[in-house]
Amino acid sequence: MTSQYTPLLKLSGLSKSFGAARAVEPLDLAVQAGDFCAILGPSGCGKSTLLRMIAGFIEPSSGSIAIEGRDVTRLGPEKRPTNMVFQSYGLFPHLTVAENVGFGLALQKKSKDEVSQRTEEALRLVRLEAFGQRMIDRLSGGQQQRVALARALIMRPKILLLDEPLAALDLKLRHQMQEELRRIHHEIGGTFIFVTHDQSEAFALANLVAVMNQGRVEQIGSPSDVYLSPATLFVADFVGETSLLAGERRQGRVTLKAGPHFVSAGRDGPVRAIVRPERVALKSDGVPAVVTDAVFFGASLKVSLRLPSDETLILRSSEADAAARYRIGDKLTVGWEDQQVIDAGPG
Amino acid sequence: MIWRFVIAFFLLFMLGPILLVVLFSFGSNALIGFPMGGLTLDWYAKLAHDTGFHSAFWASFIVALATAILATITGTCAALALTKAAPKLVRSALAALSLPVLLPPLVVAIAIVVLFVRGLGLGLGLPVVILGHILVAQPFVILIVMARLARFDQATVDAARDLGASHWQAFRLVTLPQIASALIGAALVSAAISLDDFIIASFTIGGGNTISTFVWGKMRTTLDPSINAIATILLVLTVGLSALALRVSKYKG
Repeated sequence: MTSQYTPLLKLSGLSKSFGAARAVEPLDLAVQAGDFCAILGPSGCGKSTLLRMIAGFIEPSSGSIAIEGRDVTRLGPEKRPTNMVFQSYGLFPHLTVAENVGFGLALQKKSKDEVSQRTEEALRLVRLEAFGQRMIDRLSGGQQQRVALARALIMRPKILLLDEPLAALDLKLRHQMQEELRRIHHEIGGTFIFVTHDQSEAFALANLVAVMNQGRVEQIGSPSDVYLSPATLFVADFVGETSLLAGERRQGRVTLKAGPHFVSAGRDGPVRAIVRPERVALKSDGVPAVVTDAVFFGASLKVSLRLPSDETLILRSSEADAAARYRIGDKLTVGWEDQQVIDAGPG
Repeated sequence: MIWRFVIAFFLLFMLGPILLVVLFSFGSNALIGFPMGGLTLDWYAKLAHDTGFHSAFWASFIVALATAILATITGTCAALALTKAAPKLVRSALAALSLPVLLPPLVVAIAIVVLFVRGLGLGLGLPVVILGHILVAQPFVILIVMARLARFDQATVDAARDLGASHWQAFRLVTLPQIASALIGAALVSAAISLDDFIIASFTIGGGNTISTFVWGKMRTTLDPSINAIATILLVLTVGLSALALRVSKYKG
């Protein structure tokens, strides 16, 4: 983020209003060449609007978009060095797979040989080389997804935009496509920006995550930054299953309602402590808690605990005998290694 | 059991006259009645040599063709514009655009004469007939094309634009091929509507005839079975065009 080079994509003060409603608050974002950037947020947070502004389908209300230092804010989608994989794919049903993939090159009046050769290359990249002559409606959802990807990649875009690219696929296929996307990103060394509401998908693919909420970018950083040091309560809550415990800071010392107190520099006032479930464990001199729920996930056990403050604390244990240790109704004492503290404002 | 007789009776009641017309067009008796005499194609042969019928046939052909092409173009433009408009506007616009379908053809015919001939000073003739037929056919085109656009994936147009197509290229290469069958269907329906019309044509044609005004003129002077032959030709044409339209546009219900 603090590179001295011109970033590949630079959004400055970009915003969009539909009538009186602000879909995207003014935001700044810089994406470097080679980045795999995720725009992560719940539905309706403005992430698709942001992506469509970058692609050129929505004209921003204010701010500018620069690609390689060139202002493209007023250019139409056909004049931008970006290509997009649409959520519903938008494949042309009246054309074959090969004609779909070659569509953009044919528009550029490239020679037939070049179009067919590069189409073949693109289909090989997404492992559909045998499907060139098929019609679109004869493909499965996963195959259609790959055609959409090939059709965008063949244009050698400076930035590939993906709008919820895997949302329509079932879980297993989604994991396969995630691997595929990582492989392709690695192979062609391009710059990808994708929109998703699934934090595990964002973390699995991206090296840069922008978390959005209600049209505002709440945090931009690496996946581990976002996961381990969330900048706001929303990020903490949205990313992963964290527990938020209320407390009060007085002269550099935080006391939680649930009991524990610890040193934490900052302004006096109400705070929230963010506790990661995998950091919570049994502790003999810890906080008393009652097990209210325990769900077995195969690799781990997710335990809900009620604290004396009536707050819920989530614990995740991957020990082999976890199921025997935490049974609903059990009274035990727990502690956690560390926590993140966020100012919470009054109330 | 009794219901079958009732249904058979009504089918006979509704389709009987049409069947008789077709039947008599092949009968040798000149008086239109039973016994109809032997089978013959004389009445069709007579039409083939009737110059009045020739000119009426070509006038109808030109009017139907022009109506089909022009109504399809204007109706498609309207439908495309309506898909981009606010839903509230679409409802009232559709109601307004469909009005000519609900109005009695007589009123439409009078209105056309008043506007185009008295108001704008156009002379009576085929161009005014065509304008009138466009007015009546266009709502059908709009409804057919809008039905097709309702299940049209807008992302395909966005994708084309994203891949470097201008607005016009995206329309020509992506939108048009996808809705082409609906447009052909709409054109065929327009042609059938045009062939079918008598009132507007008789009010606005001035001199000359279309097939329908030709038949009307003939009915007033002679009642010979060549009228049955014309009716049969018209029947085949309009039913055939409509059936083709339904087939091409894959219209379901």
